[in-house]
Amino acid sequence: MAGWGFRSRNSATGSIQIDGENPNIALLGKGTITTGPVEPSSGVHSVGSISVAGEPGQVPLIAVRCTAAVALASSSYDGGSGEWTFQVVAKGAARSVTWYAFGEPAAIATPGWGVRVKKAGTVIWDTRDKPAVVVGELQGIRGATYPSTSLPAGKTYALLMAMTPESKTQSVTNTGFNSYRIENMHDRMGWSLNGASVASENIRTLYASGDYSVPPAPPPPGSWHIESKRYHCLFLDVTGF
Amino acid sequence: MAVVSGWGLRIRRPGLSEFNSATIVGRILGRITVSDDGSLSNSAFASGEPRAMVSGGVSQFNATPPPEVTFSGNTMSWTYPTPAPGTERPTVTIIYWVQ
Repeated sequence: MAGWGFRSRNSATGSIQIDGENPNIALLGKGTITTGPVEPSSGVHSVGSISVAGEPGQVPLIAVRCTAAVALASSSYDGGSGEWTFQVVAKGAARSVTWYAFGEPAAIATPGWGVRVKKAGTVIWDTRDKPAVVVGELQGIRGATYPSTSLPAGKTYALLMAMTPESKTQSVTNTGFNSYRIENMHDRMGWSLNGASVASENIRTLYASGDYSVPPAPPPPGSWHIESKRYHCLFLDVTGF
Repeated sequence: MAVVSGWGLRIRRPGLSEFNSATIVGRILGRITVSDDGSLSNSAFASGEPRAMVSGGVSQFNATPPPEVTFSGNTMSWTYPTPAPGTERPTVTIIYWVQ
Protein backbone atom coordinates (compact mmCIF):
# COMPACT_ATOMS: atom_id res chain seq x y z
CA MET A 1 0.00 0.00 0.00
CA ALA A 2 1.24 3.45 -0.84
CA GLY A 3 1.98 5.94 1.88
CA TRP A 4 -0.83 8.35 1.15
CA GLY A 5 -2.49 10.10 4.03
CA PHE A 6 -5.72 11.22 2.43
CA ARG A 7 -7.72 10.03 -0.51
CA SER A 8 -11.16 10.80 -1.82
CA ARG A 9 -12.73 8.65 -4.49
CA ASN A 10 -15.57 9.21 -6.89
CA SER A 11 -18.43 7.08 -5.60
CA ALA A 12 -19.66 6.21 -9.10
CA THR A 13 -16.42 5.51 -10.95
CA GLY A 14 -13.99 4.72 -8.17
CA SER A 15 -11.52 7.23 -9.62
CA ILE A 16 -9.35 9.04 -7.13
CA GLN A 17 -10.56 12.62 -6.80
CA ILE A 18 -7.97 13.90 -4.35
CA ASP A 19 -4.84 12.41 -2.90
CA GLY A 20 -1.53 13.48 -1.49
CA GLU A 21 0.42 12.46 -4.57
CA ASN A 22 -0.85 14.42 -7.59
CA PRO A 23 -2.27 17.95 -7.56
CA ASN A 24 -5.76 18.59 -8.82
CA ILE A 25 -6.37 20.71 -11.89
CA ALA A 26 -7.39 24.06 -10.40
CA LEU A 27 -8.13 27.56 -11.57
CA LEU A 28 -5.07 29.76 -12.06
CA GLY A 29 -6.74 32.80 -13.61
CA LYS A 30 -9.43 34.03 -15.97
CA GLY A 31 -10.08 36.89 -18.33
CA THR A 32 -11.88 38.03 -21.44
CA ILE A 33 -10.47 39.01 -24.81
CA THR A 34 -12.04 40.23 -28.01
CA THR A 35 -10.75 38.89 -31.28
CA GLY A 36 -9.85 41.25 -34.11
CA PRO A 37 -11.37 41.88 -37.52
CA VAL A 38 -11.84 39.16 -40.09
CA GLU A 39 -8.47 38.10 -41.44
CA PRO A 40 -7.96 38.61 -45.17
CA SER A 41 -6.18 35.24 -45.32
CA SER A 42 -9.53 33.49 -45.06
CA GLY A 43 -12.28 36.09 -45.11
CA VAL A 44 -13.87 34.01 -42.38
CA HIS A 45 -11.97 34.02 -39.12
CA SER A 46 -10.54 36.46 -36.60
CA VAL A 47 -7.62 36.08 -34.21
CA GLY A 48 -7.02 36.93 -30.58
CA SER A 49 -4.37 36.22 -27.95
CA ILE A 50 -4.67 34.97 -24.39
CA SER A 51 -1.70 35.72 -22.13
CA VAL A 52 -1.21 33.89 -18.85
CA ALA A 53 1.66 34.36 -16.39
CA GLY A 54 3.48 31.11 -15.78
CA GLU A 55 6.65 29.15 -15.73
CA PRO A 56 8.46 27.57 -18.67
CA GLY A 57 7.60 23.91 -18.95
CA GLN A 58 4.38 24.43 -17.02
CA VAL A 59 1.98 25.18 -19.84
CA PRO A 60 -1.52 25.65 -18.40
CA LEU A 61 -4.74 24.14 -19.64
CA ILE A 62 -6.95 26.76 -21.31
CA ALA A 63 -10.74 26.49 -21.35
CA VAL A 64 -12.84 29.03 -23.23
CA ARG A 65 -16.40 30.21 -23.65
CA CYS A 66 -17.62 31.97 -26.78
CA THR A 67 -20.96 32.07 -28.55
CA ALA A 68 -19.14 31.72 -31.88
CA ALA A 69 -16.99 28.75 -32.83
CA VAL A 70 -13.45 29.07 -31.51
CA ALA A 71 -10.32 26.95 -31.44
CA LEU A 72 -6.88 27.26 -29.90
CA ALA A 73 -4.36 27.51 -32.70
CA SER A 74 -0.95 27.69 -31.06
CA SER A 75 0.89 28.41 -27.84
CA SER A 76 4.28 29.82 -26.96
CA TYR A 77 6.25 30.96 -23.92
CA ASP A 78 8.02 34.30 -23.61
CA GLY A 79 10.75 34.13 -20.99
CA GLY A 80 11.05 37.92 -20.96
CA SER A 81 7.50 38.58 -19.88
CA GLY A 82 7.10 35.24 -18.11
CA GLU A 83 3.88 34.59 -19.98
CA TRP A 84 2.28 31.85 -21.97
CA THR A 85 0.45 33.14 -25.02
CA PHE A 86 -2.30 31.21 -26.75
CA GLN A 87 -3.59 32.18 -30.16
CA VAL A 88 -7.35 31.85 -30.52
CA VAL A 89 -9.14 31.67 -33.84
CA ALA A 90 -12.85 32.47 -34.02
CA LYS A 91 -15.46 32.33 -36.72
CA GLY A 92 -16.45 35.91 -37.52
CA ALA A 93 -15.07 39.22 -36.31
CA ALA A 94 -14.75 40.80 -32.87
CA ARG A 95 -15.77 37.75 -30.84
CA SER A 96 -15.76 37.97 -27.06
CA VAL A 97 -13.89 35.00 -25.60
CA THR A 98 -13.84 34.32 -21.87
CA TRP A 99 -10.90 32.15 -20.88
CA TYR A 100 -9.96 30.15 -17.81
CA ALA A 101 -6.41 28.93 -17.15
CA PHE A 102 -6.04 25.75 -15.12
CA GLY A 103 -3.04 23.93 -13.71
CA GLU A 104 -1.37 23.03 -10.47
CA PRO A 105 -2.71 25.47 -7.88
CA ALA A 106 -0.31 27.73 -6.03
CA ALA A 107 -0.35 27.14 -2.28
CA ILE A 108 -2.49 29.68 -0.45
CA ALA A 109 -0.43 31.02 2.43
CA THR A 110 -3.15 32.87 4.29
CA PRO A 111 -5.23 31.11 6.94
CA GLY A 112 -8.86 30.30 6.43
CA TRP A 113 -8.58 26.88 4.91
CA GLY A 114 -10.83 24.02 5.96
CA VAL A 115 -8.82 21.04 4.76
CA ARG A 116 -5.40 20.94 3.19
CA VAL A 117 -3.41 18.02 1.82
CA LYS A 118 0.35 18.19 1.81
CA LYS A 119 2.99 16.29 -0.09
CA ALA A 120 6.37 16.32 1.62
CA GLY A 121 5.43 19.50 3.45
CA THR A 122 4.06 21.32 0.42
CA VAL A 123 0.33 22.01 0.15
CA ILE A 124 -1.03 20.39 -3.02
CA TRP A 125 -4.73 20.58 -2.22
CA ASP A 126 -6.75 23.17 -0.33
CA THR A 127 -10.51 23.48 0.02
CA ARG A 128 -10.18 27.04 -1.28
CA ASP A 129 -8.88 25.88 -4.66
CA LYS A 130 -11.35 26.02 -7.51
CA PRO A 131 -11.12 22.63 -9.26
CA ALA A 132 -11.81 22.02 -12.92
CA VAL A 133 -15.06 20.08 -12.54
CA VAL A 134 -15.83 17.92 -15.57
CA VAL A 135 -19.56 17.67 -16.26
CA GLY A 136 -19.31 15.98 -19.63
CA GLU A 137 -17.18 15.44 -22.69
CA LEU A 138 -17.42 14.56 -26.34
CA GLN A 139 -14.71 12.66 -28.12
CA GLY A 140 -14.44 10.70 -31.30
CA ILE A 141 -13.40 10.79 -34.91
CA ARG A 142 -14.71 13.65 -36.99
CA GLY A 143 -17.03 12.51 -39.71
CA ALA A 144 -19.45 14.21 -42.03
CA THR A 145 -21.39 15.80 -39.19
CA TYR A 146 -20.13 17.95 -36.37
CA PRO A 147 -20.95 16.92 -32.78
CA SER A 148 -23.14 18.94 -30.44
CA THR A 149 -24.84 18.46 -27.08
CA SER A 150 -26.78 20.20 -24.34
CA LEU A 151 -25.62 20.58 -20.75
CA PRO A 152 -27.79 20.97 -17.65
CA ALA A 153 -29.18 24.50 -17.40
CA GLY A 154 -28.39 26.90 -14.61
CA LYS A 155 -24.61 26.63 -14.58
CA THR A 156 -21.74 28.47 -16.22
CA TYR A 157 -19.54 26.37 -18.44
CA ALA A 158 -16.27 26.51 -20.34
CA LEU A 159 -14.85 24.24 -23.03
CA LEU A 160 -11.52 22.49 -22.71
CA MET A 161 -10.48 21.48 -26.21
CA ALA A 162 -8.07 18.65 -25.55
CA MET A 163 -7.73 17.61 -29.19
CA THR A 164 -8.81 19.61 -32.21
CA PRO A 165 -9.16 18.13 -35.69
CA GLU A 166 -7.20 20.08 -38.25
CA SER A 167 -6.62 19.69 -41.95
CA LYS A 168 -4.39 21.28 -44.57
CA THR A 169 -4.92 20.83 -48.26
CA GLN A 170 -2.93 21.84 -51.30
CA SER A 171 -4.99 21.34 -54.42
CA VAL A 172 -3.31 21.65 -57.82
CA THR A 173 -5.45 21.62 -60.95
CA ASN A 174 -4.65 22.07 -64.61
CA THR A 175 -6.35 25.15 -65.96
CA GLY A 176 -5.21 24.95 -69.57
CA PHE A 177 -2.23 24.30 -71.76
CA ASN A 178 0.86 24.81 -69.56
CA SER A 179 -1.12 26.57 -66.86
CA TYR A 180 -2.28 25.48 -63.44
CA ARG A 181 -3.91 26.72 -60.26
CA ILE A 182 -2.81 26.10 -56.66
CA GLU A 183 -5.29 26.38 -53.79
CA ASN A 184 -4.18 26.14 -50.15
CA MET A 185 -6.73 25.59 -47.40
CA HIS A 186 -6.35 25.26 -43.64
CA ASP A 187 -9.32 24.20 -41.52
CA ARG A 188 -9.89 23.58 -37.83
CA MET A 189 -12.79 22.24 -35.81
CA GLY A 190 -14.14 24.95 -33.53
CA TRP A 191 -16.54 24.80 -30.59
CA SER A 192 -19.17 27.27 -29.44
CA LEU A 193 -21.15 27.56 -26.23
CA ASN A 194 -24.48 29.35 -26.05
CA GLY A 195 -25.74 29.06 -22.49
CA ALA A 196 -25.91 25.30 -22.07
CA SER A 197 -25.83 24.42 -25.77
CA VAL A 198 -22.56 23.14 -27.19
CA ALA A 199 -21.95 22.95 -30.93
CA SER A 200 -19.01 22.50 -33.26
CA GLU A 201 -18.28 23.51 -36.82
CA ASN A 202 -15.45 24.07 -39.24
CA ILE A 203 -13.36 27.24 -39.12
CA ARG A 204 -11.38 27.99 -42.26
CA THR A 205 -8.28 29.93 -41.30
CA LEU A 206 -6.60 30.05 -44.68
CA TYR A 207 -7.68 30.14 -48.26
CA ALA A 208 -5.10 31.18 -50.81
CA SER A 209 -4.97 30.56 -54.53
CA GLY A 210 -2.76 31.45 -57.45
CA ASP A 211 -2.62 30.85 -61.20
CA TYR A 212 0.66 29.96 -62.86
CA SER A 213 1.98 29.35 -66.33
CA VAL A 214 4.83 27.06 -67.34
CA PRO A 215 7.23 28.66 -68.08
CA PRO A 216 8.18 30.95 -66.39
CA ALA A 217 6.81 29.19 -63.28
CA PRO A 218 8.29 25.77 -62.47
CA PRO A 219 6.26 22.66 -63.23
CA PRO A 220 3.25 22.24 -60.97
CA PRO A 221 3.75 20.63 -57.54
CA GLY A 222 1.58 17.76 -56.41
CA SER A 223 -1.67 17.94 -54.52
CA TRP A 224 -1.69 16.78 -50.91
CA HIS A 225 -3.93 16.59 -47.88
CA ILE A 226 -2.98 16.05 -44.24
CA GLU A 227 -5.48 15.74 -41.48
CA SER A 228 -5.99 14.91 -37.83
CA LYS A 229 -9.52 13.72 -37.16
CA ARG A 230 -9.65 12.92 -33.46
CA TYR A 231 -11.62 15.40 -31.35
CA HIS A 232 -11.98 15.62 -27.60
CA CYS A 233 -13.75 18.44 -25.81
CA LEU A 234 -14.41 18.48 -22.06
CA PHE A 235 -17.13 20.61 -20.50
CA LEU A 236 -16.18 22.30 -17.24
CA ASP A 237 -18.45 23.77 -14.59
CA VAL A 238 -16.98 27.19 -13.84
CA THR A 239 -19.96 28.56 -11.95
CA GLY A 240 -18.84 31.33 -9.64
CA PHE A 241 -15.25 31.34 -10.88
CA MET B 1 -28.49 20.42 -6.55
CA ALA B 2 -28.08 16.68 -6.47
CA VAL B 3 -28.83 15.05 -3.16
CA VAL B 4 -25.97 12.79 -2.23
CA SER B 5 -26.19 10.16 0.45
CA GLY B 6 -23.32 8.16 1.80
CA TRP B 7 -20.96 11.00 1.09
CA GLY B 8 -17.37 11.01 2.13
CA LEU B 9 -16.31 14.55 1.40
CA ARG B 10 -18.52 17.50 0.60
CA ILE B 11 -17.39 21.05 0.10
CA ARG B 12 -20.00 23.76 -0.14
CA ARG B 13 -18.91 27.31 -0.85
CA PRO B 14 -21.14 30.28 -1.61
CA GLY B 15 -21.63 30.81 -5.34
CA LEU B 16 -19.75 27.68 -6.37
CA SER B 17 -21.06 24.27 -7.30
CA GLU B 18 -20.80 21.72 -4.54
CA PHE B 19 -17.88 19.31 -4.56
CA ASN B 20 -18.98 15.87 -3.46
CA SER B 21 -18.35 12.20 -4.09
CA ALA B 22 -19.95 12.39 -7.53
CA THR B 23 -17.75 15.25 -8.73
CA ILE B 24 -15.35 14.46 -11.55
CA VAL B 25 -12.05 16.27 -11.20
CA GLY B 26 -8.64 15.68 -12.71
CA ARG B 27 -5.27 15.14 -11.09
CA ILE B 28 -2.30 16.24 -13.19
CA LEU B 29 0.23 13.48 -13.73
CA GLY B 30 2.68 15.29 -15.98
CA ARG B 31 3.64 17.05 -19.18
CA ILE B 32 5.85 15.93 -22.01
CA THR B 33 7.20 17.94 -24.92
CA VAL B 34 7.34 15.96 -28.15
CA SER B 35 8.20 16.38 -31.80
CA ASP B 36 7.86 12.81 -33.02
CA ASP B 37 5.63 9.81 -32.45
CA GLY B 38 6.05 8.10 -29.11
CA SER B 39 4.52 6.66 -25.96
CA LEU B 40 4.96 6.55 -22.21
CA SER B 41 3.63 4.40 -19.40
CA ASN B 42 2.38 5.56 -16.03
CA SER B 43 0.84 3.25 -13.48
CA ALA B 44 -1.29 6.15 -12.16
CA PHE B 45 -3.41 5.99 -15.32
CA ALA B 46 -5.12 3.04 -13.62
CA SER B 47 -6.39 5.27 -10.79
CA GLY B 48 -9.13 6.70 -13.03
CA GLU B 49 -9.81 7.67 -16.63
CA PRO B 50 -6.69 9.04 -18.33
CA ARG B 51 -7.01 12.19 -20.39
CA ALA B 52 -4.62 14.48 -22.27
CA MET B 53 -4.58 17.86 -23.93
CA VAL B 54 -2.25 18.75 -26.77
CA SER B 55 -0.95 22.28 -26.38
CA GLY B 56 1.05 23.96 -29.08
CA GLY B 57 1.24 23.55 -32.78
CA VAL B 58 1.87 26.36 -35.18
CA SER B 59 -0.28 28.34 -37.54
CA GLN B 60 2.06 28.07 -40.50
CA PHE B 61 0.80 26.15 -43.48
CA ASN B 62 3.99 24.12 -43.80
CA ALA B 63 3.48 22.26 -40.51
CA THR B 64 1.54 19.08 -39.93
CA PRO B 65 -1.35 19.14 -37.45
CA PRO B 66 -0.40 18.24 -33.86
CA PRO B 67 -0.35 14.58 -32.83
CA GLU B 68 -3.38 12.60 -31.76
CA VAL B 69 -3.23 11.02 -28.31
CA THR B 70 -4.67 7.62 -27.38
CA PHE B 71 -4.59 5.48 -24.24
CA SER B 72 -4.36 1.73 -23.84
CA GLY B 73 -4.07 0.39 -20.32
CA ASN B 74 -1.26 2.27 -18.60
CA THR B 75 0.23 3.53 -21.87
CA MET B 76 -0.32 6.87 -23.55
CA SER B 77 0.66 7.10 -27.22
CA TRP B 78 0.84 10.06 -29.56
CA THR B 79 0.96 9.91 -33.34
CA TYR B 80 1.41 12.74 -35.83
CA PRO B 81 -0.38 12.72 -39.18
CA THR B 82 1.87 11.57 -42.01
CA PRO B 83 3.69 14.68 -43.23
CA ALA B 84 3.06 16.02 -46.70
CA PRO B 85 5.95 17.17 -48.92
CA GLY B 86 7.51 20.24 -47.41
CA THR B 87 5.70 20.04 -44.08
CA GLU B 88 7.29 19.54 -40.68
CA ARG B 89 6.02 18.21 -37.38
CA PRO B 90 5.50 20.95 -34.78
CA THR B 91 6.86 20.57 -31.27
CA VAL B 92 3.96 20.38 -28.81
CA THR B 93 3.42 19.73 -25.13
CA ILE B 94 1.04 17.01 -24.00
CA ILE B 95 -0.50 17.60 -20.58
CA TYR B 96 -1.87 14.38 -19.17
CA TRP B 97 -4.03 13.67 -16.20
CA VAL B 98 -6.42 11.15 -14.72
CA GLN B 99 -10.00 11.88 -13.71
